[in-house]
Amino acid sequence: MAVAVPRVTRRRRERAARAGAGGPRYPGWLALPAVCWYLVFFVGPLGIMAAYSFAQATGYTDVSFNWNVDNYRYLWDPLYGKIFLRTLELALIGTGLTLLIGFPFAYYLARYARRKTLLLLLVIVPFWTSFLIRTYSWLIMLDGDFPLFRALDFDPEVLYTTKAIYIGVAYNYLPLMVLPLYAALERMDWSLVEAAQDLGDNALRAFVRVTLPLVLPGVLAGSLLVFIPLTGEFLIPAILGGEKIFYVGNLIAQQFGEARDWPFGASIAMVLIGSMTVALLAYARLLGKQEQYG
Amino acid sequence: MVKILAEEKLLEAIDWKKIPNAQRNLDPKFKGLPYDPQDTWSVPKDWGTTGFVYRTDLIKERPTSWKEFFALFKKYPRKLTLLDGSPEVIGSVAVMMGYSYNTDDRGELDKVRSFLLDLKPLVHSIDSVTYKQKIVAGKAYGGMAWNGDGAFVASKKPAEYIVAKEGGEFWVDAYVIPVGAKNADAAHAWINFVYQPKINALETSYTFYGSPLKRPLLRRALAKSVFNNPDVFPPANLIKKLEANNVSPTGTRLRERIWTEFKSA
Repeated sequence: MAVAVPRVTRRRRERAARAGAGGPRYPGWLALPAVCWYLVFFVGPLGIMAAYSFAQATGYTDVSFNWNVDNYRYLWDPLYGKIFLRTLELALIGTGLTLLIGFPFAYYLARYARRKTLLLLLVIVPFWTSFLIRTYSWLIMLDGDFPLFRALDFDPEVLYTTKAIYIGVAYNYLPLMVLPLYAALERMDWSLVEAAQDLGDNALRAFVRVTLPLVLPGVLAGSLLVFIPLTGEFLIPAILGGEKIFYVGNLIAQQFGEARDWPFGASIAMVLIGSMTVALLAYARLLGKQEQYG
Repeated sequence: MVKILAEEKLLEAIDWKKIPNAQRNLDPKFKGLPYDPQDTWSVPKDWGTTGFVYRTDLIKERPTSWKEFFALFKKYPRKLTLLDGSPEVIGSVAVMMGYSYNTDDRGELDKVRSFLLDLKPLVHSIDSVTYKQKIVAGKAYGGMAWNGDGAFVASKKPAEYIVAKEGGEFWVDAYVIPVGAKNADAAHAWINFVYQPKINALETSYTFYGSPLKRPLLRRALAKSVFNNPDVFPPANLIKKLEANNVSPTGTRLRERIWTEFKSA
């Protein structure tokens, strides 16, 4: 008896997995265009980059593929470790900032706002202007000569510092956080919150026990959308940081550009992708546990 | 760059018979340059120097050397910019210390490195593109600069461009014709056209970069204010001290690491 029970459970679980978690079955060939796309434009280039990371720069543009790990060994240097840690810090703080600013807004938008479409449009409108122009415009707005600061007779003195980078990051990445948060909050059944409050939870407790678990997948999706590109961010530090504060993205750009050391640049990118993959797997685990909620 | 392009077989040879104006008017000083000793692949376009520019109304001192320029960083913290290029920044500091602009000596580069790391907190920004606007607007009081940009700043605001006493970089821009060019005749015709003294003078007066034409021809074609401008045409005794950028591959890797460390400090 004691032996038979787990066997039945496992079999049922396998069957459920085969059926695509109980959902309808679609023929596999529907995935063909996407698979081809990813093979040609993602797996292929990734393979080329992996090959480069084991090569050696021998001339101005020449590379010899002699399959060594020298680039990785060269990367094993406290200097580059420091840059990786600083990048992690940027990605974490950037994600935290956008979440802090984005969540209350998305909450208001989904639950209380009257002109949802208009507000949502305002979130998306910045995408109509080039990322570069929007970032350069912060150079004007953060300057002590900006009319507002002049009127207040106050120089924020943030340009070309880490603070300016964080402002630029929070601004540029906010829509990427707000949209998935809004999508998750929009699906919320607010009567559940009301029920919790009817049954004695105060507003905060109801939020923590009901709302938060239900929108957690949205929070994770938004965080991921912000966190991952932030690990490769190099334009905001270059413009608002005055090229004085260096992140992994800047390091890679420097190797592929000015230093013309593609193999070394490729090895840095591979390490970055590797660490991202580990983070993504952790995320998938976390999400897998959350799936029972929503 | 010309040398590399030629080695990679990406250039068509120049047919000097098709550019009589260049044959006649090019200053012999610009013939047989190290990157193209036989003048096979390129024709000089313009030339210039890497020095520094500063606002004479915002800075009291009158620096004439790299030593004096870098000393300003302490007096005016975060008010001076540096070019965004490891050859220029590392090379100029090396020259200040009495080394070659192109040094690849580990010990010498190590001294440059410590100097730069001390300098880092005092730098306004590292910028080769918009620094001239920053200096014109007074956001920065000066910075390491190419002579054309220096002359640009000086044309808008009280400012001076200086080729440092110790020396520095001397560079030449060149015309080349890419391999397989469909209209190589037109390319030759263009080079021949711009090698007329009057046409070339127009370019020099606009960019403030030195013209490679013979001096007597330029004297007639250029306005005195440009012809006698030492920013555009530095005196010969100063040019002798300047070096062309030519760092060895070993030097490049050492320098790239210093540059990364400097930028991330």
